Amino acid sequence: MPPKKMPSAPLNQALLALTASALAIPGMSAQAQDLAGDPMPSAPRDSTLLDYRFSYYDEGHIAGSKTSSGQDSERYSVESHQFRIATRLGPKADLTADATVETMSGASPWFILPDIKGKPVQVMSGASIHDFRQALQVRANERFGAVTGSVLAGYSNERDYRGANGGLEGSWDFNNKLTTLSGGVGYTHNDLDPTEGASMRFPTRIAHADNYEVNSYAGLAQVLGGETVLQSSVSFTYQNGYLSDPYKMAYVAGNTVNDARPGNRRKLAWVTRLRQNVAALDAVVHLDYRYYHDDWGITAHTAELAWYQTLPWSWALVPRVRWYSQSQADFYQPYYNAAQNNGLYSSDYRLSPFGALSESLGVYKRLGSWNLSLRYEHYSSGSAYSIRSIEVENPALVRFQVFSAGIVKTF
Amino acid sequence: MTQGQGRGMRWGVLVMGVVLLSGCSGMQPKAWQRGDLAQPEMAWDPDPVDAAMRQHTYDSKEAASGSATVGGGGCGCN
Repeated sequence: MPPKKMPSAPLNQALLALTASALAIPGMSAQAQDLAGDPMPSAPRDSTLLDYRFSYYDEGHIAGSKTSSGQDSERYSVESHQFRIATRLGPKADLTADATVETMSGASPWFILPDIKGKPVQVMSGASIHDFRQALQVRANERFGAVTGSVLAGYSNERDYRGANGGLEGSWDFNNKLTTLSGGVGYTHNDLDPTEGASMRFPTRIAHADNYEVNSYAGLAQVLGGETVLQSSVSFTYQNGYLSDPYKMAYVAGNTVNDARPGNRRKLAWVTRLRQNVAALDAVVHLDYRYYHDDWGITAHTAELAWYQTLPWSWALVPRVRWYSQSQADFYQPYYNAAQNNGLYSSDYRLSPFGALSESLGVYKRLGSWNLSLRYEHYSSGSAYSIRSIEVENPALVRFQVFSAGIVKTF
Repeated sequence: MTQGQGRGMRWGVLVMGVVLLSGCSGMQPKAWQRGDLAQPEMAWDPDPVDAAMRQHTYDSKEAASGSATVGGGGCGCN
């Protein structure tokens, strides 16, 4: 008779209400959905989950040694409010809706100048930016035996930006429910109406532009014994339209020109995720790796390790570390000494070569039908974390911290 | 498709093939282990609201993006 493992009740309790429809363990879909996925374990099928999360994102200031003015400059901060409702629509269907409201403020990198020694120094946007974002994302799932189909739709709105998206996803359990094949296709359309576009102050800034994105993925998840699950998926994204940043400029041989990027982009991402139960410690290890490549010449690696530790009295602790490294876009330069034949210019730090490291700690606590959570993250980017040596570091590379607090109620 | 994309795609197909084959070769969990596999912390994203915010933040500060889902929109992130 095999030893029967005691269920890890505290973390189960702590996280049950937070799992929503995210469970996709192969072969366990139906059971897992009943146990935790949607979102109540043994609760009636008409149960409902409500989740509220507050997050405060705060970028560290940019040092005076990296700015053209020689003065420290403030950067961005964002206050986010997230709301989720997840509920059953019937014995085989469920619905999840996520709403987000954010307020953003602060200064943003504008363009880069060479100083007297040729060192790149950052010019920040003058006035503090204030914006407001509202987003809604809805997902409906229905199960047909071993097959689950999903319909997704969403909308995001800012003062200068609107995006709408839709998609279809499906998954199929087979091989005695030990293997799950999944895939999906999606479409997004974005409209941009930059602040002060074509104005007296910014006459070259575009007044309106749009772009679209088509993406798809296919993945395979496999149970590897009784303690391990592995998933590997490949996603492909095609973007077309205005993909430049209307608020950024580039310094070109003594003049500034608009940020100008190619009109299309093809992106490939290969994501592999491992979940390993460590029964002896009542913990679960999460290990994720993503390889990324696009036809702008950027290759990136992302690795993330998280440890979900169950503790007594319905507490759980989740430390996490994430490492990221990317190469630069072909057309990126911190500044340009001469005009380019292809007409492409961008000094955006997000297209520069860099690496980043973030550390995070989450705490979860279950109180009856309520769940509480707190999380802190610190993220720092720079050449020191890059997989390859970097000659010239972009002065605008970001570091930030995030505080979040959440409360969940299941009915 | 670039050479790099093709190479990445081939590796992806190879790994998925190996994973599939390994699943057919006696790695079946015992009945009592099903409970371990179904515990919430074994989910790909045990806290999906937090995961969505983290992903949104990384996507707005880094060049790379892409995951095993098609959901979510972009942003005019500065």
